[in-house]
Amino acid sequence: MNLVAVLLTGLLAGGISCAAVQGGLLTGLITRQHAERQTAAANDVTGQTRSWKARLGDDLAPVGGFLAGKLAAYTALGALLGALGGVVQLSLVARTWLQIGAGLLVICFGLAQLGVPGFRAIVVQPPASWMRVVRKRARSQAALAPAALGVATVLLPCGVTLSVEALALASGSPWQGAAIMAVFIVGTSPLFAVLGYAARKAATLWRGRLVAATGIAVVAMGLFTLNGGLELAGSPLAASRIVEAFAGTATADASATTVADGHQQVVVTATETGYSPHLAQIRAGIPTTLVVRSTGAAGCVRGFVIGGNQTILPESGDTPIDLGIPKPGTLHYACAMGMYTGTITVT
Amino acid sequence: MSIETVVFRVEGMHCGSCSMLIDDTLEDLPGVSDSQTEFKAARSTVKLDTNRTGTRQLIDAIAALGYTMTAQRS
Repeated sequence: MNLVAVLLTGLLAGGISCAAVQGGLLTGLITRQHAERQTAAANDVTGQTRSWKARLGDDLAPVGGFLAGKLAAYTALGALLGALGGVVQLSLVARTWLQIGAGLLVICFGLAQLGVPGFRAIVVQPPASWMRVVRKRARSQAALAPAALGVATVLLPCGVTLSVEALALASGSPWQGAAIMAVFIVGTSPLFAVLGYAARKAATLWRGRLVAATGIAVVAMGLFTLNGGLELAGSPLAASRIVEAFAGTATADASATTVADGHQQVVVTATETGYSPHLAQIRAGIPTTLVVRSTGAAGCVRGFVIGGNQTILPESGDTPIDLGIPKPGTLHYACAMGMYTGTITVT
Repeated sequence: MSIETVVFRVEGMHCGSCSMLIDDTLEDLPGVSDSQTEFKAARSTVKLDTNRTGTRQLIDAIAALGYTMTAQRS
C-alpha cells in the first residue's frame, strides 16, 4: 500500500471537508469551556490572572487532545477493518470483487458530493444515536472532552474517510489497516489546525469551493481502488490494458530471460516500488519457470498474482513459479491490490 | 416567552458533521432550546423563543458558516 498517496489524500482532501467541519465543533467546545473558565475567574476572590503560558496551554491542550483522541480511534478502526478484510478475503476472486465493489461505491459517494444528477440522493448519514453521542461530547465541560470528541468523530463517516476505510479493509492486514488510517489522520491534521481551529468562519467560507475539490479527490480514490480490482480481474478495462491498447506494446525486455538445457527461466525483480522489468519477453513452447526475485519487497507487492493464483513472496529471496509450456500471447501479473502490474509477452 | 418550532431548509451540507455544526451553532444562540438538523432531508427543526432571537439571526449565524438556510414554516 502506498502510504504517501494516503497522506496526500489526507492533506489535500480530508482537511478541507469533514475534518474542517469537526474543527468547528471543537472551536465551539473550546469557546464554551473558556467562557466557563472566565466566569469562574470572575468569581475568584483572590483576583489572580493566568499567565500567557497557561493561556496558550488552554488553547493548545484541547486541540492536541482532540487530535490524539481522533488518531487513536481511527488507528484502532483501521486495525479492525484490516483484520476484518483479512477474514473476508477468503479467496483472490472474493477480494477482487470486494475491491471492485468498494471502488464503485466510493465513486458513487464522490459523484454525490459533486452533486451529479442521479447520485445526489446517495448520502451517508450516521444513526441518530451516534450523532447524540458526538453532540454530548461537543457540549461537555469536562477536561477530557476534546479528546472524547476526537474519539467520537469516528462515528461520523463522510466520503473521504469512507474511501480510506475501504482501502484499510482491502489491505487485509490489521497492521496495514492501522497504518493507512493513522497516516490519513496525520495528513488531515495540518489543514484541520489552520482551517478548523482558527475559526469556524475560516473553515466554512472556503468550504463551498473546496467541497468540489473533495468530491474530485473521492472520485479519484474510487477510480484508483476500482482499477486495482480490474487489474486483478485481468479486465481489458484496467488502466494498464487501456494504455497498452492505445500506446501499443513497448519493446519487451528479453535480457531477463535465459534458456538452458531446454528449460526457460525469466526473472522478475520485486522491490517495494513494484516489479521490473515491466515488460519481459519469453519464447513459446519451452518449459518455463518464472523466478520472482524479492529485494526488499514490501506491502502488497509481496502478494504476487498471475494466472488467477496468488503467491506470497518473501521480503528477500527467489520464488519460482512454474508457467508450464507457454503458448504465444500475453501473461499479465499484478500485486495483491492491483496497484503494481507487469506483462510477459510470449512469442 | 413565546416558544415556536421553526423548520428551515438548509443547503450546502456535505456530511453528517455539517448537521452537527449547525445544531451546535444554533444551540449557542440565546433563546434556542433545541435544534435537530437532518443532513439527508436538508432540514433543521429549531425550537426558539422568538422574543429573544428572531429567525433572521438564526439564518445569519448559519450563513456565516457557509450554509444557506431559509425558513419553511413555523
